[in-house]
Parts: sequence; structure tokens; C-alpha cells
Amino acid sequence: MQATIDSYAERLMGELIKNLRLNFFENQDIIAIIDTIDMFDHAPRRKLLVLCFILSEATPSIIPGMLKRVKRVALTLDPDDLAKWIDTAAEVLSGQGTDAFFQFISNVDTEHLKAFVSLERLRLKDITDTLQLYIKGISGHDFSVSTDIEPSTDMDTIYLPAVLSRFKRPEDNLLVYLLMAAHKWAQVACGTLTPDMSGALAGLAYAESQEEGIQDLETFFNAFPQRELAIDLFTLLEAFMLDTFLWRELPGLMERAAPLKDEVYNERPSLDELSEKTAFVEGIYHYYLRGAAKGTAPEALLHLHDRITALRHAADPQEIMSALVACYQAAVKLTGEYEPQRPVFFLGTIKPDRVAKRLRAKRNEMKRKLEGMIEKLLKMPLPERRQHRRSHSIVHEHPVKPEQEYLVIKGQNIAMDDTVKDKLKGGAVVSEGRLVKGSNLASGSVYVNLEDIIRAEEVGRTQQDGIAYDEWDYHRGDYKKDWCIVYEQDLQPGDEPFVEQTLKRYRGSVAQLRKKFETLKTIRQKVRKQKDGDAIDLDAAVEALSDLHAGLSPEGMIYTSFNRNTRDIAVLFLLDMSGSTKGWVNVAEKEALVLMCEALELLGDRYAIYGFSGMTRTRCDYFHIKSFREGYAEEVKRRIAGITPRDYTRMGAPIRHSATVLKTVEARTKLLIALSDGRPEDWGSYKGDYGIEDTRKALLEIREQGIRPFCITIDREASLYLPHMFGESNFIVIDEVRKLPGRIVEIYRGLTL
Amino acid sequence: MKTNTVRSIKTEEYFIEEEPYYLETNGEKALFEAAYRNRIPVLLKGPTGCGKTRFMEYMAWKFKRPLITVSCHDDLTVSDLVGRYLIQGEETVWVDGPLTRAVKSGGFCYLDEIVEARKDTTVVIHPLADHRRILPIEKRGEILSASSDFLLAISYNPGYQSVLKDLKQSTRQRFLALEFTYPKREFEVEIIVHETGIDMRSAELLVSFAEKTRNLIEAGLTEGASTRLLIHAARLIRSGIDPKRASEVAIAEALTDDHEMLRALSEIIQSLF
Repeated sequence: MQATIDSYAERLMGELIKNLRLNFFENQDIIAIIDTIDMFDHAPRRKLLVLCFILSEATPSIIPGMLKRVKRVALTLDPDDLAKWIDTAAEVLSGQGTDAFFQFISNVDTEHLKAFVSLERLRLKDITDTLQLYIKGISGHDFSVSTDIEPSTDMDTIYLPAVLSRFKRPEDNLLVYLLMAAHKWAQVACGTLTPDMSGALAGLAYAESQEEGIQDLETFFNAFPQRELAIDLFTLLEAFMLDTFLWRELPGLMERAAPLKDEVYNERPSLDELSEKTAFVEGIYHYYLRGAAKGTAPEALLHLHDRITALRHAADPQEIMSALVACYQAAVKLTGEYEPQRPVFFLGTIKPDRVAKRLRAKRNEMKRKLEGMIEKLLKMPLPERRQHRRSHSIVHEHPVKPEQEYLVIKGQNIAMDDTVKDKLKGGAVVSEGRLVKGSNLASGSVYVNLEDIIRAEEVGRTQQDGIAYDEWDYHRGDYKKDWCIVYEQDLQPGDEPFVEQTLKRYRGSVAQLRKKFETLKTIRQKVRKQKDGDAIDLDAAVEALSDLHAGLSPEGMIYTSFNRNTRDIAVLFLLDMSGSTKGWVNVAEKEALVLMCEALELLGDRYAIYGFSGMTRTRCDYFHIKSFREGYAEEVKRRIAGITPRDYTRMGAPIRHSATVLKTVEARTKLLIALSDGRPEDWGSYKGDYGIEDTRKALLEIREQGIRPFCITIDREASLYLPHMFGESNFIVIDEVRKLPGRIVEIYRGLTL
Repeated sequence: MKTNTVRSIKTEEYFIEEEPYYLETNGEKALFEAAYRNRIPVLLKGPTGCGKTRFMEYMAWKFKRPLITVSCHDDLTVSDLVGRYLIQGEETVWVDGPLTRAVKSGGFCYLDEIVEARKDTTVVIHPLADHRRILPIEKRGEILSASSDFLLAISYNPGYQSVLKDLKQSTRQRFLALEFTYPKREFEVEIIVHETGIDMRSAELLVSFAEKTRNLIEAGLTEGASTRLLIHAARLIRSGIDPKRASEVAIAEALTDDHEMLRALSEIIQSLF
């Protein structure tokens, strides 16, 4: 049965290709169309093929646009529903013509598509939160979850189908999601997507010459003339290794998944129906699913059986690579075309391009950072050489050392610290500049330090109105006197009714929040041993009586009273307004502030809000949003609306200045809560350990002054440096920005309970 | 659990007679011993349920000293620790508090969760915790000099993030601090097997689960599963409860009330057992 249907589909495909050719479609466009059609499951694929064929007879030009829309719809609908949707589209086409058809397929919003959704399905977005916690729990890493037709990962994001309706019961569909996610995690944990590729092609005679160009999985697979075959083989061989890993790590999951494997096995075609080459790959599926092949396995596969199944005990992804080369070589010698069968739904197919893209993006990000730095360096007005008398110049010139490397820009030789140099060597491109070894420079050349150049620019600024603070230099183990100038200034109010919008947006949680804080506020704390109060403290009275008997004068503190207002707290919120907070972070910070103000107004804790940003040590801006004395007035609300991302994060000076501000209030508990999105970083040398050490020192200073600092950050890498900077348990990492407004109030509550 | 008769013993006569099971993980026994020999008081810090109290029991047994434990709370007054006069018939009688008893009998006084105590109470231990080793009893106009066998130990959990409950520098700087964390995987397995007699494989799975809950600390859990919770779960399993159910009630539900989190934990349990 299967065979006849397939041959019909293949005939249709041939007709479609013919029609496209007749309509002057380029070869590559035809391939793209075929590839897209092939992406889909059996049922929708067939319907889509019919539809494309019909269109190719009359209006072939709309085929690519149509396919694009189908792809989008496939993110919402599962295969069976998609087939229904395509049916309807075909009816519209034949009944109402091309315009109506185009209108129908262009309507891809969820409401419209709901009509095609059958029941008993599980949507990814309904379980994303649970799934994300599950993945974080099992892996300890922060993966994002996104949708795609097949499960795959680029090592940062796990892609899963938007809907699953394979099974009647939602819990079975959830199991499939978990299984898919676990498999993707296993790929990352076992390193199968980033294997050591040196020598991996050994034995693949015609490919060895290409070894040079191989950097990642994508270029690796390009070395195989039959790329698809190689990728399918890899996905399968890898599954053997991952299975063992998962059985060890998540035995319960694998046990529950075992019946699934059986079911999938029963659905697989028998090897006797397939071409020899296809049967080779399909046979491995059978080995993986049940350990034995359905039908007669090709001789070549039987030879490799032991080698393949031994991958269950593979310790290194390299073993997969060498097995892959062996299998590939055996497979290409077999007769027939390779016709990919449907992949096992929970394995999916690896996406080497996606992995490679992610890796490249990471490398590029690094490169961009450096380039940004260099670009700024180029923009800096370099002091004209010899313009000032040398003794007065900050930019000291030193004779070059032959063994050192210098960055040569605009005729200057600049010495840098190792971090910059490493980035340069990491492949960053510096326009107008190059790295030159000292020995290659003309004799008598001089060099200047990068830091000096930056400082030279800085001294140009006046120091009026600013307050000078010391900065800690951990290299020297000493303070730099009056190093940073902090300018306190009013923040320009914004025009938008941001506060009102936020309150509207969070209407539900604001009500809830009020209730929670109300209880916190009216917390009736019974205090014993008071001089006066509502009731007698029996213990204290007995004690006093005993004291009397014993001839001691009693203390007389024999009452209990309810203390309603033990809260004597002043809190200063210090907001990171650096450029990196642009976008969602900035909005979330502002929303968090609005909710916080609501809560604090209710609670009666005294609070102030300041923002900071800056560029270089001579311009640390400290923005006044709300002082301790001010009420939560209209003006304050407008200033919150006016919070915008600015420059850099030089954290030490604003923290020290916050202590000065906190000194002006009397409170038993003084709190400084910093909201930040990353590590301290400013122009020049204020980065890496230097910035962290100065910030840490500033925090230690303010702690000595009786202020307790606390940091709320959304930087995922924060656990690398925050414990050192703020101290264990003095910070909290919010894993997702959008959660910040919801969490901050809870955090504050916990902090001051 | 050994006898059914209820036995009442005086605080200062509470000796641990049988060797408590304690698996050393970081050389803490030797450190404690050195501290004790040098009369340095000890601060045990670490998350809940990772063996601080058990360690104290073990050391008390080892040195054959009575162990006097006081669980601190926010109403704990100086009198509760030092002692008070009580009326008996026509006269008043002085009754020593647990701290005084320990000082006199040369016992180990263990103030559990010291940060919970009232701030004015915490300071009475100061003169006991430095070179003076004395306990002033104001009401009686006496100063007690501690017996040479006396040891003061306090515990505290640095994970609590309340500003109002922090250990003051003047207190903490009197102590030698021993840090306790969740034991390493193989140690934790051994502990669970020893404490409950559960099979090795189940213990490993419980520890696996605990590690996964500890992964979630920043994502919504305040603390991960403690060894104590694992032991509870293991005991339930030993009594014939299904491991999944046991992990749910003894661990997941004990950790959080958050619905979303419970669902995720439940899925992790289903994936493990």
C-alpha cells in the first residue's frame, strides 16, 4: 500500500518539477521548493504536493510565497491539522479563485487557525515554563526553548515542535516533549555536536584533501558528497551513545519511553521494501529501536553491526565520527538511490548549520566587542606628538621593546594589556591598525600605553560641581586619590505615561502585591519584657516576683506589647543605566521600579531611587529620580518614564556616592539595592578584574558604614563574579528579564521580613 | 526508638552513648578537635539538613561530653539561656539555664540557628567566646569561669537573605568557622545507604534528584534538597512506598509550594525513577 501511494507522490513530484522548468524556474529555486515540501510529515506533504502541482499548472509564481506561509502555519498546527488546512486551501482555490486563495493562506494568525485544531494535543507554549525548569533542573544550564518542525538544538536553544498530538493523552505528549528535550541536552552534555574534528575524515580518501577547511560540523558534512546520507547516519549513530547516557542519567524517563520505541519500530518500513542504500540506513534505525532488523539487512550492514552497536559504550564523540566514515563508505557502494525515511520523531535530525551559526555568532560577538573598542580608540583625538613639553604630557613615550607586540594606528605604537591582545589574535579585524612586533619597527621608535591615551582625553574635562571619590586599584593594592568625579543631576522627565501603563499592565499582580504587603505592614509582633504594654508577660512577672523574693530589685519590665512598626528601613535603589540595558532590560527595570514604588508607598519604608551611568572616570553621572525626602509625586513618575540607557557601568564611584546619600537619613537598617545587567565595565582599564575589585572594595567600604548592599542582576554569568563582588547570598540572579518586575517585590519582601 | 519507656534526664547529663554515624567530608573532625584543644569556640555554617547537628552529636560522643542544644528563636531572652529565680513555696530558687549548666558541667553548648535569637541575647555569649571564657550572671552578681572541658558552638545558615537576620561581626569574629555544604555525590550516597539501609541504586537516584533540585536554586527554589530530606525519602522507600511518591512528598513538596516548580520537579522525578 505504502509503495503505491509513494510512487503516486513521486510521479506528481516529477510532474511538478517539469512544470516549474517549463515556467523558467531556476534550478536552485526548484530545489528550494522540493526541499520545503519534503520538510513536512507524510500526510501534509502529499496534500502540499498536490496543491503545488495544481498551482504549477496555472500560477506557478505564487508557489514560493505560498510555501513560506505554509511553513508559518506549521508552527501552530500539527501535521494532521495542517493537512486539513491545506485541504481547505485547495477547496478555496478551486471554488473561489486565486485571490481568495491567497487571502486564505495569508491569514496565519492563531485565532484563524484555531478552527483547524483538533482536540487532545499539547502545545509547547502551555508547558514552556515547566519545561524550562525541567531542563534547567536536569542540566544545570539555561537553555532557551523555541519552536521548529523537528526537535534540534544549536547548543543554546532547544527547538521543539509547537504542538504534539501524537498521543491521545496529554501526559503522553508531555513525555515526548521531555524525551526530545532530554535528547537535545544529551547532545550538548556528551559533546557530540562539537567533536574534535582533526583526522575525523581519515579513510575517506576523496575527502581527506578537504581536511584543511573543516572548522565545525557544517563544513565537516560538506566534505561528504552525499551530505544528507552522512547527516542521517550521524544522527542515528549518535543516538546509540546518547541512549546510554540518558539511561544512566534519567532511567525513569527512558523506561517510560521504551514503549514509544516499540511503537515507532512497528511503524518503520521493512528493509525488503527499500533500495539497498536506503535499507542500510533504515537497518540502523531498526538496530537502534529494537536491536534487530525487520526484513533482510544488506550484507554490508551485517558486517558493521557489531561496530555500530558498540557505540552504546562510546566514551568519546570521535568514535561516532570514525564509525560514520566506515558506514558512509559502505553505504555509498550499495545500489539504489538514498531515499530518506522519516526520522524517529524524538531524535529529529541534527542541524549542523544551526550549530555552526551559533558558534560563529559567539566568535563574532567577541570580535565585535573588540572592534567597538578599537573604533572608539581611533575616534579619540590622539594628542599631537611633541605638542606639549614632554614633562607635562600624560602620554609618556617609551622606547619599544623588540620582543613585545604593538598595535600600530595612526603612526602611533600602542602597548596593550593581554586581554586586548588576545582578542586581537582571536581574529578581530582592526581597520587602519595592525599588530607589529617591536623588533620589526624602525629603530628609535617609541611606544605609548593605551591607558595613557585614554587618560589624556579625560583630563580635558573640568571638575566643577562634581564630587571626587577614590578608586581602588588592585594592581597596586592602593587607592587612586580623588580619581572619579561624580555629577549628581536631575534626570530629564519622560513624556510617556509609563507608570500608568505599567500599573494597568500589572493590574492583577498589583492588587495581589498590595495584599501581601498589607499583611507585612500590619504584622503584629508580640514583644516580651516591655516597660508597658497591653498584657502582662507572665514569665517576666514570675521572674520579677522571684527577684523580689530573692531580695533583688526587679527590672519592672513585665508587659507584653504588640509592636506594629518595627520597620525602620531606608532603602536606596541604584539603577544601572548603561547602554547595555537597552531594550527589554530597560523596560523591565522601569516596570520593576514602578511596582516597587507601589509596594514601598504602602509599607512606609523610606526609599530613594538613583540611576547611574558614565563614560570614563571624569564623568560618572548619578541621576536623581527620587530622593528620600521627596514623595512619590508626579514629577518622580515622569522621571521614571524618562529612564533611558546611556553609556558605561563604572560601578565603584556611584556606590560610594550612594553611601553619601544614605548618610543623610537616619534608619536602623540601611539597604542599597543595585539593579544591574552585567559586570562593571567602563572605558579604558575599568573592566575585568579591575572593575570587579573596585566595586567589591566600594561595597566593603559601605558595609563598614552600616549599609547592607544587595544586587539583583539578570546577567546569567553573574554567578562567576557576583559571589566575590557582593558576597555570597547578597545577590540574586533573575534568569529572565520579563520575570524581574514580578520577582523584585518578592525579593524585597524576603530581604526585609 | 530503642525503648518505649520515657526517660527523663537532666540537661547536663545528656551524654551520647552510642557512636552517631558521621561521614567526614572535609577534614572537619581534625579541625574541630584542634579547636577544642585550643579552647576556640566553633561556628558551623551551611544550609539546612547538611549534617551540622549530627556533627555536633558525633564530636560530643567522641569527647564524651554532654551535649546541650538550644534552638534559638526570636523570643529567646538572656534568662532563658543563663537562668532565673523561680518561686517554690515561700522561697525563691535559682535555676540555671542551659548555657550555665554547660559552663558548669563542662559540656558542649550548641546554639542552633543563632541569628534567630534576639540581638541583646546574642551578646551574652561574647565573654564566653573569647579568651576570658566567663559567663557573668548578673542577677546573682556572679561570674562563672567555664570548666576547661566546656565548648561553645553556634550554627547559622548564610543562605537566608534577610538583612535583619545577619550575624554581627563582633559575634562571628570570635569563632572558628567550619563550612558545611551538601556532601559530594559518593559521600551522600554512602550516608543515605548507611542511614536507611536502602539499596545503592535508589540512593544514587535520590542524590541525582537532589543535585537537580540544587540546579534550580536560582531559578525559583530558595534551597536545594538537603541530605536530611533524602534520608526521609529513602526511609519511605524502605517502608515500601513507591520511590516516585516518596520523592514527591518527602522532597519536592517539602521544598516549595509553587505550582509551576512542583510540576517541573515532578517531571524530573518521573524521569529519574
